[in-house]
Amino acid sequence: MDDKQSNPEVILEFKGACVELKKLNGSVLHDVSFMIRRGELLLMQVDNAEFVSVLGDMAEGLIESKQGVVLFRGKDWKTMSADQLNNHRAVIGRVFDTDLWLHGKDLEENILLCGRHHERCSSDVLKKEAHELARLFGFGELPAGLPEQAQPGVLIRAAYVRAFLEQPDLLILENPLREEYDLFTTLLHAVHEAQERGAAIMWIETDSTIWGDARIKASQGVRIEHARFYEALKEDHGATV
Amino acid sequence: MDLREESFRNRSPWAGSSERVLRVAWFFVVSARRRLLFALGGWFLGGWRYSRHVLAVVTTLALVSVRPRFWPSTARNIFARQILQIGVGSILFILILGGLVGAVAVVQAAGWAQGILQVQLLNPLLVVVVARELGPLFANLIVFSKDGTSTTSEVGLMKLSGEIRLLEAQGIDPLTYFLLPKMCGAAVASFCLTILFIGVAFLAGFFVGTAIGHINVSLEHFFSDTLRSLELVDWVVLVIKSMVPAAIQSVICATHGLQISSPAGLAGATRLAASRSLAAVFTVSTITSLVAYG
Repeated sequence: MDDKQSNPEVILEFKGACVELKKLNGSVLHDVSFMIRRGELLLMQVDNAEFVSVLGDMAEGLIESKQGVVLFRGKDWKTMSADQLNNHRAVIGRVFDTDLWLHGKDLEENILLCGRHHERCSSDVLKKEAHELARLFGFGELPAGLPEQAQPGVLIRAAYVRAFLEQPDLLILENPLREEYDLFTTLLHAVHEAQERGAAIMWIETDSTIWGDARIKASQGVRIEHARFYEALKEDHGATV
Repeated sequence: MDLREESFRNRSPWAGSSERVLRVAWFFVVSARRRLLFALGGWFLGGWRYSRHVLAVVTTLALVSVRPRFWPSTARNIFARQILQIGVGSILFILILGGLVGAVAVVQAAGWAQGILQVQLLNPLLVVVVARELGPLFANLIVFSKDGTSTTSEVGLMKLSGEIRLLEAQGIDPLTYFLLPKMCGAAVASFCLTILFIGVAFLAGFFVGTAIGHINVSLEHFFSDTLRSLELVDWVVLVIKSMVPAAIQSVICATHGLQISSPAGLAGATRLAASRSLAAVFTVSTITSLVAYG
């Protein structure tokens, strides 16, 4: 068997990562270790909602690990140059825990911004792919209008389009359903397609009801991890996923 | 008696005197002087460090700006919008201002020159007053009023609402995506406004001078005389004085916005950015004049 097929590339790896955050009253994410390979879906259940975006930020190298390392495609975020950081982050799609949009721009500009900035493909190809994704997530065409005027249901689906655009190597989904449970099947379908394409997916969820769903359990290439990240307050807890 | 007191007694003009009050008063004078020196030194060092930081950012961005890969369509859009907002949006104002300044300069210069100088000396005088000093200064002040403080608020709000984090998460460096085109746009807009200001001021000067009977040459002759009065160094100074302060104030305002960590800090950061930007505009203008003409 081909080595690449049996042992796909590790996209993201946390090795004993640890972070202490002042904004979380000194709470600590302690000794977090896991890896995600190409085509894998890692479902992480997190006890503390505050840690959802922290984990996402660590995975993107936006927050430095105090101890241990976070590797993206085998490279430590801390050792990358500014250009490398930006180029690697450009191939990560992310649905943020909160609605994050540039407020001076409409939704279409927001969705296309990353692709247009990095210019990895022509504007026409980018728009075509964005239109296809928009249709997949239930829009007739790319959503227009300013983010602050859009309904929550529109914003979350627009966030899916933004995250899945340009076939990212890593997808970080932070509480992606936000009580819009009717989107579950569509999202799962898009996630499976991304897996087949070779993307690694890190789905961070605080809502435990999602994990009882038979559809997610039946998915291929799924690892379900109930990560217990303690708010250790400097106590020596070990929490390895 | 400890060493400090002994040393103080030796330095004091009242050493050996029993008038304790005078000694205490002298002690306070020395200590106040020392505190003042410390404060001045701290202020100077702080200012030096801050200026060095701003100049480093401006130089880095200026070097980066000549590399095409830092100009994707997203940055070009911001650049175009900046020129449209500051440059095109201020044309009417600069026309009025240039016209008024040109007219006033000619009236004042002609009135002053009547008994002492010949009217032919109006041209070099216009060049000195309008082209060398007032043109770039007014253009920079207009750029500051249009762009300065609003940039601090804009960047500060972007940071507070998480938009800067969103950009970074998408691999978009806020400095090259946002600040680079804003800085270059401000510099280009300022240069264009300066040229417009000077042109209109000369034109208004000519018409007003003709109307009051102090200029009796054709428009073509007047302009060719005026342009002849402009030397190469004037053109170089014009470019520096119109573009550099605009770029610096743009960077100052944006970096103050980036340092905001809570909504309460927004007003203070905006005020500080405004005062530092204005100080930078006048400082660069003065230093350039001193170096070029001093």
